[in-house]
Amino acid sequence: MAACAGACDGCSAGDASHAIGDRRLDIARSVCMKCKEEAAVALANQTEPMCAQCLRSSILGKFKTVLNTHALVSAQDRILLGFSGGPSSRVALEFLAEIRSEALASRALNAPGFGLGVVFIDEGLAIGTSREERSRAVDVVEKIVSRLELPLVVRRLEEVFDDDNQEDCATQLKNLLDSVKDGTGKEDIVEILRMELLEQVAKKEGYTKLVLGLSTTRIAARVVSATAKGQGFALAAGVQYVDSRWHAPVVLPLRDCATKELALLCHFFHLETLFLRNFSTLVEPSASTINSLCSNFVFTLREDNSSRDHTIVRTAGKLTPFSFNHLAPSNGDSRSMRKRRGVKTELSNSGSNMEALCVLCRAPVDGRSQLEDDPRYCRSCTLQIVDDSKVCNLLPRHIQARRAGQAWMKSQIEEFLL
Amino acid sequence: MVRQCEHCGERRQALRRPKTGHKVCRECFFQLLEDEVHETITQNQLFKKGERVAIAASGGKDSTVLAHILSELNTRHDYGLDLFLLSIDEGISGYRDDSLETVKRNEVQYGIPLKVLSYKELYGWTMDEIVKEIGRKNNCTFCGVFRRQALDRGAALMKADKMATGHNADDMAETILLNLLRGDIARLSRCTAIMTGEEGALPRCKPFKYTYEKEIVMYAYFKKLDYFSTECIYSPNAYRGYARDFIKDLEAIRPRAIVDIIKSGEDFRISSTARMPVQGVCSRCGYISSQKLCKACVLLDGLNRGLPRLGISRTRGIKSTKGVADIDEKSTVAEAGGNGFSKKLSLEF
Repeated sequence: MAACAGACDGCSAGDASHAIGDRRLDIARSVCMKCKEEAAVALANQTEPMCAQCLRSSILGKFKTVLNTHALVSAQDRILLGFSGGPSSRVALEFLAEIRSEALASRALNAPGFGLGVVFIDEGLAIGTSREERSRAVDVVEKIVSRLELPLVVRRLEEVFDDDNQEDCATQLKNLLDSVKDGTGKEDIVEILRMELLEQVAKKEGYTKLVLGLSTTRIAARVVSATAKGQGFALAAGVQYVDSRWHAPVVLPLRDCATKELALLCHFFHLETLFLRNFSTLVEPSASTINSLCSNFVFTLREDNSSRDHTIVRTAGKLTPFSFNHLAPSNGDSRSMRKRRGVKTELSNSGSNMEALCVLCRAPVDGRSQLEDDPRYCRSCTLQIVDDSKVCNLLPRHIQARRAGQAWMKSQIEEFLL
Repeated sequence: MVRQCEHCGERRQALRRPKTGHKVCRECFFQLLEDEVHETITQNQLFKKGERVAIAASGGKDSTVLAHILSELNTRHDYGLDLFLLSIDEGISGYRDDSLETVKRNEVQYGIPLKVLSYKELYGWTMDEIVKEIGRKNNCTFCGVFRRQALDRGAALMKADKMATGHNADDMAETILLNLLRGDIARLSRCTAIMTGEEGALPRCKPFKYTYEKEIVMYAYFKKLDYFSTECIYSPNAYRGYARDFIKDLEAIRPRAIVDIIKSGEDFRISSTARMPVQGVCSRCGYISSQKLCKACVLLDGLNRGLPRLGISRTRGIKSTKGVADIDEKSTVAEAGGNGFSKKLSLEF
């Protein structure tokens, strides 16, 4: 592995890592730079030594800032948190619960007293975990959420097939996964099904927003893996604070926090987390998926420069977003009111053209460069998941029933329209 | 059991193509690769008949194979090009002096004339001297900036209309990744172009943009082409190493991924109003520059004044007024390197 000694401009990592090395030695003796009283225990924002309490308020501050500046959540919302048990979603859970109870206690007019619920998706069947492990995981989740007195919904991934018979659902899921030959494709279809199921739960239970605990580090890994899969056109869609392609728009309040500081927070405040295996957990690197390779890559880069994931996400954030990366205007949320509160994110125009989306992963499809085979799927899904028509028929029925959008058809014939 | 080539079905299989996984015989491999390069050249209209083309030649595998294939296709498909080799001597002993011998052999082997330009004659410094001065960090910056100008000056001196470089698909993928990692959105939007500088006097093109590095090596190996295979002695410290290792691992999982990265790079939605550098001219040497002084002048100035970090991390002290006591016997850029700069040359740093 070529160690970076910063041999080119734009990256004087050699100097930085030397300094950070010094700082690591100093932490044992240094004082929190915020409160200047307690001993520092960790680096917040990559470089600032802080005590545990200030670390917490720093991250909470970032969380609240994102919620406010981009008006991600309003008092009328019913928020569903996608809880995986990992450090990021654990922190999101803790903070959302705290903000909500504070608001309810204060009963202030502009404080969001939003509804809050939690959903946990058990993907054990897809990964191949044992029944005991799966029920143990569910127990842990139930314990965590019940302590916070919040409603919890637990769903198995196979329930996305919407069949009354559970055995049938399980078989359908197994058949689908077996039919996808590509390892990365398998991992991706599991994620697609997870999002579909989350959307179904939000719809059924009447939630208006879906919060995911995606951190800067994980989004950076997604940026790299999307690039590696040829999804450059659609990349801008999944890296913004808001994604309205879903029935309940997905918002990412932890987008500005690195996984490391979230994990440290969980450690210092004894926030219980869950370790869940994925496809790459027990697999040799050479046989693993592109997603895990990219995730490891980002972690390697962070060792050399702990802000690298932030730079990657910032770069990706500069790509032109899509119309669905804005929230639709809601009641009592006029432009002037948003301006007064200092809200940054634009509202989408209700009349704007919706981009053509892949029926599977909902990636916006570049009308110009579409593979001829099936216009319903984007190039990436066609190559790594649906490369065999057999796979199409094994998808959940409601996905199969989606048709190629009007927008895509129009893009194909636009030049002939008079 | 001996299997037949998947392409011609006649000769026996000799190799599996890294790019596609097809198992083919040697002859078909040569033909497929050459046809793919020809396809890239024609589809992107890289050359015009009668053009005088400088092939940037380092003696390494990419430029050797490029020289070989270009001269081959030039004849076979009647491109009508006037080809010559252009080589730059950075003054890295134990590396460049050996690879230059290779290029000189190529001159004989392909019957293409060769022109060599050195950093010493252009700038008054060899890379070895520069590294002694600034150490092993950031030396790639100096080398890259100087080489770019050197190639342009050499090509202008030799009255070339166009330059062809041996950048291959792996290089393109690495560069895209690097720009993503470094947050350089402006470069990200430009780095996937197969031809750059068309508005200027010396456009550059990359006929190997979609050709895999492994296939270039394979071609050279089976054709028994003569090339110099050692890495630059200063390269282990380069940041590009991260991207290179990642891409090697990626290729092992999915060979198609290299071309996919290039496709992603081409498809990135980057607003054309994003801050792009405005092209001007260096006030000292007349080379294309987006600042008052071109990067080469800034770096050279730093070297001559004993400020090795000038232009790297230090911006205070960059003097753009003429007649500044540049002091010494080491020549400035303007004095060396010929006068082919009355024409506007396009450049992107």
